[in-house]
Amino acid sequence: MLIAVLSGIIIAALTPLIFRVMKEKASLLLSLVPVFLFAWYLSYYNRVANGEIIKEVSEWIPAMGINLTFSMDGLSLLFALIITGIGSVVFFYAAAYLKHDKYITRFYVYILFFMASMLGVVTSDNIFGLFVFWELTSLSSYLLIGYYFDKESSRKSALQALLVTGTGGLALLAGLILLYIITGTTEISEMLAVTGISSHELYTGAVILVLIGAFTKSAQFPFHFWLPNAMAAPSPVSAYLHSATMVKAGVFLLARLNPVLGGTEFWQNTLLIFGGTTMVIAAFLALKQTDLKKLLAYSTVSVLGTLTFMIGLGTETALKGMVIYLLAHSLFKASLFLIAGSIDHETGTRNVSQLSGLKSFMPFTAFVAIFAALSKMGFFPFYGFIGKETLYDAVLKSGSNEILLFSAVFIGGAVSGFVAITAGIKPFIGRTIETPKSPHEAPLLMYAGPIVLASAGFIFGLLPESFTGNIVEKTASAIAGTNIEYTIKLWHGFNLVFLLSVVTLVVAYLLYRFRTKFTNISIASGVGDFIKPSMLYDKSLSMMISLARGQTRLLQNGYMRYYIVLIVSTALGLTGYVLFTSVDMSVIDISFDITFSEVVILLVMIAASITAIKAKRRLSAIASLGVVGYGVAIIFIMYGAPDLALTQFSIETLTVILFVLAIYRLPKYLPFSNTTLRFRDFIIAAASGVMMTMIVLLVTSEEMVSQLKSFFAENSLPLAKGKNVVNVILVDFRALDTMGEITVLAIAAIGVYALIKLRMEGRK
Amino acid sequence: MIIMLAILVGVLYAAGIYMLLRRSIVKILLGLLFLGHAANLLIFTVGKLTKGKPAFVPEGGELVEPFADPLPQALILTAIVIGFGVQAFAIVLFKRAYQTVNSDDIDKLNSTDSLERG
Repeated sequence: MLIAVLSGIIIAALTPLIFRVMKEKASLLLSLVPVFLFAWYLSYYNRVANGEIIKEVSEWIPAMGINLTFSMDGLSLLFALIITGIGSVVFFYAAAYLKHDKYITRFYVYILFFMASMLGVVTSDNIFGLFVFWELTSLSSYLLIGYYFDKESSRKSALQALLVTGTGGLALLAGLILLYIITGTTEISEMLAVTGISSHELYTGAVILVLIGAFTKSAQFPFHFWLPNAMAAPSPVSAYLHSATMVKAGVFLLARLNPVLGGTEFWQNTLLIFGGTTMVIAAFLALKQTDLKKLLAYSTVSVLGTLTFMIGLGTETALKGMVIYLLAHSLFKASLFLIAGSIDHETGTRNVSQLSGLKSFMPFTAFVAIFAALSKMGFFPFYGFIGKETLYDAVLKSGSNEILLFSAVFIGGAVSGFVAITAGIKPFIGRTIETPKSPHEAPLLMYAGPIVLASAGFIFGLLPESFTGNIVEKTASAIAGTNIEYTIKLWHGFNLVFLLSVVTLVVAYLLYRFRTKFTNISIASGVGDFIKPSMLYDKSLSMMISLARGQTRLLQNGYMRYYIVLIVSTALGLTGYVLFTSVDMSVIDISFDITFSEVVILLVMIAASITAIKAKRRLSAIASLGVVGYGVAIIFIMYGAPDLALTQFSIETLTVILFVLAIYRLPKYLPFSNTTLRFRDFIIAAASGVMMTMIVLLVTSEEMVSQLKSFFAENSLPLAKGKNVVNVILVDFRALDTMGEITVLAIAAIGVYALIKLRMEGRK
Repeated sequence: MIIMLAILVGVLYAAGIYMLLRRSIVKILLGLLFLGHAANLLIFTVGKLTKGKPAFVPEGGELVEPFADPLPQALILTAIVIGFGVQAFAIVLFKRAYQTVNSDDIDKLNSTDSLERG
């Protein structure tokens, strides 16, 4: 399974090469990748359907329990098949849709990368592996939403999606770490065996954090706003990432962790409330959309809410309904998005009110669209019908608050029907309206794929048990954590659920018939105005930027001495604090056993330092500093360091000469700073000086025994054949350091040479 | 003897930091030199002082205590040489900057705009 995931990433890396060699045909070749992967995953179908869970471990960071563990049960396989299956359709579709696009190579790189990451998410058993793939999907989604990077709105939406899902990702990581602390394992399969998770004190925190991750990814209220904006991406991307796969990653995570974290009132109710709210609010917002893709996007948000809601409901029927609806939705919504793309591509508009009567121009597309729309409406005998009926059935049997819960699902269902009619049927029937481009049928590649998806929705509807029975059963079992036996039937007889199903269709039609009125209601109700989490996003983003700007202005004002003051006073403050609060000063040994010569040197050096500071002319300042340097050299001699003294003498001389050469022609100093400023600097400098003196006294009052000292003394002659121990250390024991030192000198020399050379060329 | 060196280290650090805070680039360079001396002396002092005897192995014999610890000396030797590299580069860089901006004022180097005006 690692190979399956990695193959996508490797091929993504090779894609530019493939395009260079094969030119236009490359996109078709690359489209075979998801097809092969689909076939490969399908080959596991029988084993998984028999209840087997296939595992595979590749060690990654075994010491920390982070491994690339992959496992495949019903849930993973269902998602893997959706990802590769719809991937195949989308890849082929994009080959035609983006045929003349300059950046088609990039598109395939990104989308292959996405597919691989997404497969990683759904098959990972290790929570950290899952997290890494999770973030990779956010990243590739960012790149794909921003595909039309020359449009500002595109870039903005891409960034918004990245920030929202990225923030959620951070929360998720924290949640997963808590989960690891609670259970002591990083493998989800092992967490299932751990008991007492829900009574652990960290349980609530872990749930909240994991839910933030899942809700941002699956665009649950109040994080839903990024998804409609993500429609800035090309249509194949919207179909693939933002309806069929990536946005379902959040739902997948909820499903995956349901047996680990679920079963508590907190978990179930939170999912019910957020799922239900998302479902209803998104439905209201969908009513006023005129852009085909935005309409479908809000409907997708509503459906994602429904799926979350069903996991929250948690009964067997609810989970089955959720799985069936998820599969059905992936099939019809991907088709509808692709068709929206085709309409946009061939007519030049996505405005629903401008689209009508296209069936005579685009017969094949129209046929697919109507098929997909019927499934979305929940029309007999499509797969969507079964999905909707099971959902209704689950809600009615939920045992408490049936009316409230049912109304929510009913609103979602009715608006879903409305969207299906508006997006899938309306553009093709009725009289013809003139469009920006004269419409004609889309190329074969652009309707062949949707035909496959829409017919799957039809065939699955007719023979639900033989095609999807096993996988639905195994998926629902994986979500529940217990074995669920189930037979899917298309027809349950004329019962209450069927009646309600019919009523939904009628209401959906009425919504469509009087859509202008409902649009007005939706606008007038102000649902979209007063519930605007996107405002919060904008506000916090601009606040963050102004905070950063203010902070930069405060800390990085461009004046070097300001930085130095900041650094020095921070060091002073922190060190001073420690010195005064937690260090015993009495250990300092202040014995004035100073000889006369030492006093002289000390006084001369201090005098020279003051002269260097106060000198009016540069030359005298440099000369005084030379005195300080020589003083240091004399100290080296006094304390047994003749090598240092020699070096110091020669270097000091060189420095003074160099300095004089560089500046002897400069005019006198100009007085730049006033007395107050000098006083402030003096205080800072003096305080630092006192601090350094204290540190020296403190350090030297500690008894230190250097083992290196005796090591070097003993081994200098026998090992390195040298009597001067300091030299031996430099050229033998620590020769590599000296090598580095020489390199630094060489670089400095090159720099000096380059600067001088630069000047000479400037003169020419 | 320690107290003397401790005071000296303090004075040199103070002088270095004071000079670093000036606007004149030459003074900043002098500050750099001061800090170099200060740091070298600091390491030398905290690395334990031994009067007189350097770490030389006598002819045919063994080195016996007391003798100066060779390790801090080796470190300082490296530091002196590298410090020189930095100073040489800084001095030449200053010279170039002076020729371009025609000023010793570091504030003149704040933006490329003032460079063009200059």
